[in-house]
Amino acid sequence: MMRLVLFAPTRKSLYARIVAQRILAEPEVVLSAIVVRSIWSFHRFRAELRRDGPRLLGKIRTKLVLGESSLSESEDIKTAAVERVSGDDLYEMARRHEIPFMSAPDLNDTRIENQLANIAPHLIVFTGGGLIRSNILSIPPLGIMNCHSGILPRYRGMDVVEWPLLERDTEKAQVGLTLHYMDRGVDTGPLLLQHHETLQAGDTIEAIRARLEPRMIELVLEGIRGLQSGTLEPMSQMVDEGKQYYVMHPRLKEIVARKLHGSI
Amino acid sequence: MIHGMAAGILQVGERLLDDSVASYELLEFIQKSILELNKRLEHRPDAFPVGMIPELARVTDAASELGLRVPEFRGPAENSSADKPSAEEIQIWMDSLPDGLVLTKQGLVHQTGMMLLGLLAVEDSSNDLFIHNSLERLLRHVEVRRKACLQPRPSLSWSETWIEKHDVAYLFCVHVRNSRDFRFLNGAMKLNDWGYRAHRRNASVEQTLSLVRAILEQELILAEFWG
Repeated sequence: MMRLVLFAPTRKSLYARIVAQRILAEPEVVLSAIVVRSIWSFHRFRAELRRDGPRLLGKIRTKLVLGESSLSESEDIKTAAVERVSGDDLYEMARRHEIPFMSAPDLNDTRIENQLANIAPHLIVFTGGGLIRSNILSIPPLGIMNCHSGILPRYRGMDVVEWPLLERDTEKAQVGLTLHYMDRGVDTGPLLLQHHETLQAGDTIEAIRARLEPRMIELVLEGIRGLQSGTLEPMSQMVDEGKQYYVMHPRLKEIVARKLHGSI
Repeated sequence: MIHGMAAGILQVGERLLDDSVASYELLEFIQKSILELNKRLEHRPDAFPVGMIPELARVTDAASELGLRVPEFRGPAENSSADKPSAEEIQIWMDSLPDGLVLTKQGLVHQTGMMLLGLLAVEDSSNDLFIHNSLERLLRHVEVRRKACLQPRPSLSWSETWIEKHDVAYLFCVHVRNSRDFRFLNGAMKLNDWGYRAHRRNASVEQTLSLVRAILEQELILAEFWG
């Protein structure tokens, strides 16, 4: 049996909850612990405010306050899984399935490190929660798996759905997802799987993201199965092969929207 | 009900905290500033910093190129070339860099923007790696530290600090023209928004011109690539 641990950004993270639900249904795999980053941390708030600026409030609004109700466009997620996990947060899910549950302001906490060392997971599935340091990275022999919402190695960092659309003609833009192992850099770890998203007429950023979200879950599951069966081989990426992207300026986002609309 | 109210409050908060500046506001600022600076030069030429006259001529032309209604530059024609650092000055500056870095934990090395602009203008590939690494370091720093970025060490006056920041924003824009790497336009736009918000009516000619120059270059690039 392959032992997995799930890392989540919040107890209410819909993505983490669906991934947990799907892992629980996988044969030959056991979810050995759920580790959640606590939202009640001044350091976390400060670091995320510094990274995201005012849009952190938007993220809090959609992810923590509105939750599933903000996903009106993402029907795939709603119908496929939300109903099954509705009303559950990760703590309740862990309690119901008798899975050890841990929460800390920082996922690199030594308490988390010690407990993980006892659990000895083969793989950690990361669904968010900040940078992971080498003390945790070195614990699972397979590694820590993350699904990045951009095509690696080219598009590392933030807003990597928007950046390819700004840089290139929309039909040539490389939009998609990459499943990869995490390392000490930002999105620089070995690649596992990739999904290239085909743009559709009348697409908007929201519509593209809504299509990518359920695909992320499938890619994570595909990755777990591939690693479990030994059919998936990680492929190293070179640091020079890509660039690190940052939060896109609202005016550049407007340009992306106009490009998608066909008005540029 | 409570969730709806909380969501509404967060949405309003997000809008209030958004410090990005609309294009029309920036263009209006450029137009007004150029008008005022040209008036100042016309009415009190002795009080106008001589070294800034070529820059005023240049931004006046560039603003007109952007389609802004600005007065014709009527300053002295003999000062038509902008003041750039010499190769020797650049070399001295490079030799003085701590560990060869333009930015350290202590802060930004003085004249970084201006000297890197000078280096970009030189056709000598031996400095390409240094320029590339310095630009990436500056961009990452601006994006991570946001408004607290680019603090010169040793510290400078408020006005001089902003000139250093505006020079880096302009440097980013010039690099975009050479590389088409729009991450640097993104960085410049953020720096310019913060610079515009911090700008005071009684700012020095140097400070105003350096901000106008950076914003103009940004707007020219935006117009050139995406109309």
